[in-house]
Amino acid sequence: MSSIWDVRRSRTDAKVAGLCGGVAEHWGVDPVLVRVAWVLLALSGGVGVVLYLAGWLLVPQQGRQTAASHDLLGGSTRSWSREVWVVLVVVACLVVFPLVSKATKVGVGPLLVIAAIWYFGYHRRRPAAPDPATGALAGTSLGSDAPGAAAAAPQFVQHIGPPTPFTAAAQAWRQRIEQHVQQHPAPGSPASAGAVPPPSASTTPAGWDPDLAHRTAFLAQPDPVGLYAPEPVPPAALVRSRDRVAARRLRLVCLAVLGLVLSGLALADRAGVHVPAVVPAAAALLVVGLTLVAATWCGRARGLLPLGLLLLPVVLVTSVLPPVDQLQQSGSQQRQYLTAAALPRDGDLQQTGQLEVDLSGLDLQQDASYSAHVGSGRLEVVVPPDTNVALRYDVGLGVVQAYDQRVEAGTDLVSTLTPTAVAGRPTLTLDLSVDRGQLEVRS
Amino acid sequence: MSELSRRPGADPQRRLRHPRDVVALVVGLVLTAVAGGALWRALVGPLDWSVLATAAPLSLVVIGVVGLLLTRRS
Repeated sequence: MSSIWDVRRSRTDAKVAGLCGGVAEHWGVDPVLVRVAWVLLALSGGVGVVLYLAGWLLVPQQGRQTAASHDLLGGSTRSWSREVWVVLVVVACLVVFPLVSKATKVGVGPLLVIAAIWYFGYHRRRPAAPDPATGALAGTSLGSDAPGAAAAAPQFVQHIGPPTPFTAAAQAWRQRIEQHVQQHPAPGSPASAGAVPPPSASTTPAGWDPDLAHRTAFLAQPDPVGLYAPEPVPPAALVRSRDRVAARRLRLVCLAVLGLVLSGLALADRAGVHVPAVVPAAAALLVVGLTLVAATWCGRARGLLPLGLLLLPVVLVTSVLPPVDQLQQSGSQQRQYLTAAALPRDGDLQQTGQLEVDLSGLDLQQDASYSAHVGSGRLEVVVPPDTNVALRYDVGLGVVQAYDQRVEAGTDLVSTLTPTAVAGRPTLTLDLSVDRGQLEVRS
Repeated sequence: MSELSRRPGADPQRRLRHPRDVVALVVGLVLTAVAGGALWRALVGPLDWSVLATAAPLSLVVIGVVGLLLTRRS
């Protein structure tokens, strides 16, 4: 592996100065990893920033012999040795580190982690340098020590583990080499002459070497098992066409089912069946969702996913919103109820304005309850006489008055008022809430 | 070529002919669940939010695991 001083800033993979790209290219790792590590280094007391600036200044760009420092500082820095630059960079790191670490609240942790990852995960796993004399890797037993013996009886490393395409190719090469060695035990031997028929004298050019020709023919086929042969091209057009057909059919089925469902709901609504607004939207979403599930295997038709994502907020909004008939217009509304059966089951609702509810004529034979809500405004309820009234109120911000007395004012007013109950009288439970405004209960 | 299609015995033609659209599966399951919940709330009755608070995250985890497994097998 080349030295760290051989790193060059990348020209092609440069976000800022190309230093991360150059380092990644030098080490043969993903540039994203290098950039992430450099950001972590920058957080670690600003060391990454100092190192990046130093690399920007000191590391030449690919294709150039001089660094940026030479251009900026002139030729006087050419004579500075590497040790001088290293000392300067270390001093700069030591100066910057306490300043930046106070701001980032990050110590040397990332620096140590990155150093450990680099050392144990990369540096120690580097393959041993090849022997310049033999070209063999240290620790391997490819061939014999003696060149002559290697040619006569080559030895191979046995692969341990499941077969792979690469090991299959290696096995094929091994067999071919063994066959070749058997047929040609030594250059110029009679056996080798018998393996390859020598060319006739009339066609043999002067200086023709049969062994060289055999080796050339042997090496002419570099890929005996087709490891690097181009893959057979799948009938992509046919596959795509079939997928398109299936997806198109699925989309048509989806549209047909969608139309049937929505038509059925519309007919039911016309026939008098109460169909909430959320039902058509949810039914459509259900159909689209099931179609998408089916599209997992049949192919996704274009437009299904956007349609589903479009229907999703519609379903959520219509599901959360109260029914339209419960939404009253702003302004002043007056209600009067005379019987318990007339009391609305879901209560009265007014977003803004004033809601006056007259229950003074309410004829109760048994216990009952009534609820009302005003978003912003005033809620006034007149309770019936000769009735026990239990008042539960919830006012987000405002004032509560009960029976001509101010109960409390402020925020988050939640309480229950239960005056002394008179035996034999029915109890009316009032559940009243106002988000912002005034709540008044009087008799 | 993917690792699986390089495996001896693997049939790349078959895999290409029936690719699994995991995105469609995951989104479809989520949309179906939301639609089912909305229909239940509108037609049957209110949802039990305490149950939903447990079931919804679990469902998302299951859907995510299924999608992850299918992605690894694709």
